Amino acid sequence: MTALKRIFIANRGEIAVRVIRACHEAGLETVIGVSEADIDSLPAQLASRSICIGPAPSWASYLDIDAAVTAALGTGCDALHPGYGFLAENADLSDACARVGVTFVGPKAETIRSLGDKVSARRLAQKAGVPVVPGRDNVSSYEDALKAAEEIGFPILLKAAKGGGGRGMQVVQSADRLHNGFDNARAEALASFGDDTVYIERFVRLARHVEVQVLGDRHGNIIHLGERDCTLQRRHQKIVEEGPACDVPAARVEEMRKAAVELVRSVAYQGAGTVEFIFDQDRNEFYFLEVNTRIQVEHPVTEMLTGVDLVAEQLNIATGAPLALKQNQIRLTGHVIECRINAEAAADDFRPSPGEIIQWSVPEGKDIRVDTHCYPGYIVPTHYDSLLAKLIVVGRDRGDALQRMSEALRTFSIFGIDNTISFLGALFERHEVKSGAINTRLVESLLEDSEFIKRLEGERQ
Amino acid sequence: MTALKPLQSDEEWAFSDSDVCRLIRVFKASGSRSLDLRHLSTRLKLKAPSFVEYETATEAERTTKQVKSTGVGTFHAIREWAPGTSVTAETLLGHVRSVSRERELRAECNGVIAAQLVPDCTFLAYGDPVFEIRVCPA
Repeated sequence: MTALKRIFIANRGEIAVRVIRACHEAGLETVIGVSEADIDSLPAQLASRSICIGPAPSWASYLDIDAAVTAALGTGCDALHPGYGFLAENADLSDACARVGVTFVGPKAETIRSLGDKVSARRLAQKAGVPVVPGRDNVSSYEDALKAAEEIGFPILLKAAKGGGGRGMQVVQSADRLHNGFDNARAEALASFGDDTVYIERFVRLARHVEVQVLGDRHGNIIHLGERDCTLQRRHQKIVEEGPACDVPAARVEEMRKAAVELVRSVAYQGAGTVEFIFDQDRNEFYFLEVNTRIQVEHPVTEMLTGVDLVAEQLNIATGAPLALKQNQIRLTGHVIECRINAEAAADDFRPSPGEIIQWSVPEGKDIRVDTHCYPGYIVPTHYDSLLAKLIVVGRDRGDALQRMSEALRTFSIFGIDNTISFLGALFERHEVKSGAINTRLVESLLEDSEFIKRLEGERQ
Repeated sequence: MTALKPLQSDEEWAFSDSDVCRLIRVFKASGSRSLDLRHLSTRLKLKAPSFVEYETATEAERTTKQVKSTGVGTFHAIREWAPGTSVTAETLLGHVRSVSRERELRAECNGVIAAQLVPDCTFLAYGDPVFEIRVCPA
C-alpha cells in the first residue's frame, strides 16, 4: 500500500472543487494546476497550493500532459487526480505518471487504452458475454459501410472509433444518404480525435441511456453501485441524470448490473468507472455502449443514493487498499435527480454565455446538493465548457424527487449571464418527463415543439 | 474648483505661505492629479501622490521588461548573467526543463540585464518572472 500525502488535481471547475474537498476531508494536501484564466478561480483558492501551468487555451494547459506531470512532480505530489474530461481518459497521462513515480488516480494505461478505443471495447464486451448493438467494427470504405448497413438494417449510426462523450456520431436514415454520412463521419472523426476510423451500429429509435457505476481495486474486487438513467440529452450531451432507473424493467436493470461487473472484471479494472448501455424500449433489449474510465459528471446521483463517497473511494483504491465495501452492503435508497446548469442561452440554440455572474443564489436544504465552482462576481471564461453547477435533489420516490427538483430550480437564481435554469424548469413541467415516458431524442423533439419554444422565449422576455 | 483671480503683472505673482497652503488645499479638494502653474519666470507644480506612482510606474514599464517562464519546469541559466550584461532579442538566457521538454528562454528585447530574479534550478510556474532587462531605446 502507498500512503498518499499530496494530490495534484489536473482539472478545473466544479470537479476540481469536488476532488479538493474530498482530499482535504481525507487529510491530504492538494495542488491544482491552473491556466492563466483560472488563477483566481475557486479551486485555486481552495487548494493548498495552485500553480499556473499554461495560458488559457486548453491545448496549452489542461490538455498538456507534460505540464501536468511536471507540475505534479515539481510540487512534491505523490498522486494525480485527472477529474473528468481533458486528460481523464488519456492513457498517455497514466503512463507518464507511472514513469515519474506519481500515482495516477484511475485505471492502468493499458485498461484505458483497451476500453477507450470504442471498437476494442465492443470486442471486449462481446468476449465478456455482454450484448452489443448489432454493428460492424472498422468500416474502412463506403462499400464496406453499405454492406454492413444493409445487414444491420437502416437507420444506422456511424461512430468515431476514438470518440466518446457523445461526439463524432452521425445518424443515417437510408442508403441514399450513406455516402454523404460516411464521408462526414470520417472527416469529423479525424478533426475531433485525430483518427478517421469509424464503425457502424444499429440506430435505436426509442432509446434510454442507462449506465452502471463500478469500483474495482488492485486485489480483483469489483462491485457495482447501481445504475443511473441519463436519457434526457441534447445532441448526445446529458442534461438530466437520475437514479435508480425505475422506468426500465427490473430484470433488465439487474442484467445490466451483472454485465457491467463481468465486463470490468474481465479487464481487472482498477478505480471508478461507468459502463454505459442503450436500452431499446421497442425490443426490451439492452446493448453495451461504452466504458468511461473515470469519475463521471453525474457521480453525485450514485453518492446520494448509496451514501458512498466515490472520490474518496478513488483515493483509497489508488493507495492499493482493498475495497472497504462488499456488494451486499450497497443499497440504493430513495430517488435522486441531477440537473446540469450551463451558461447557455437555451432560447437561442444554447448559445454559450460567458461573462460575469452578478448574482448567484443557490437552493439549500437537507436533501439538496449543489456542486459548483461559481460565486457572485465570478467571470465565466470563454475557453472551457459551459457547466456552472450541478443541482442534485433526493426524494422518497421519483414523484417526490421531481417535485423537489422543480422547487429547487425555482429558487436557483443566476443574473449576469444566460443559463439553462428556465429551460430545465420547462422540461420538468412536461408530462413526458413526469411520467417517465422519455427517450434520448425527446429533448430535441421538444426543441421543435412551438409550445415549448414559446415557453422558453417567454422566460427570456 | 475655486477659480483664481487673473494676475495683472509679474509683481502680483508673489505667493505668501498662506497662499500656497490655500492652493494646496484647493488642489487636494479638486481631485485633480496634477497642477502645473506657470507665469513668466515662476512655476508652481503640484502632483497627487498616486499620480506620482503612476508616472513612475509608467516610466519604469517603458524602460524595463520582465522575461517570464514559458512553461512549468526547472530553470537552468545558460551562463552566469551579471547585471549590466548586454543582450539582444535573440540572446538565449536559459532553459525551462520539464519532464519531456526543454523550452528556451530568450531576452526578446535589446538591453542590459537588470537582474536575474530567481536562482538556477528554481522550479517555476508558467509566467513566473525570471529576468528583468533594462530596455535600450531602438
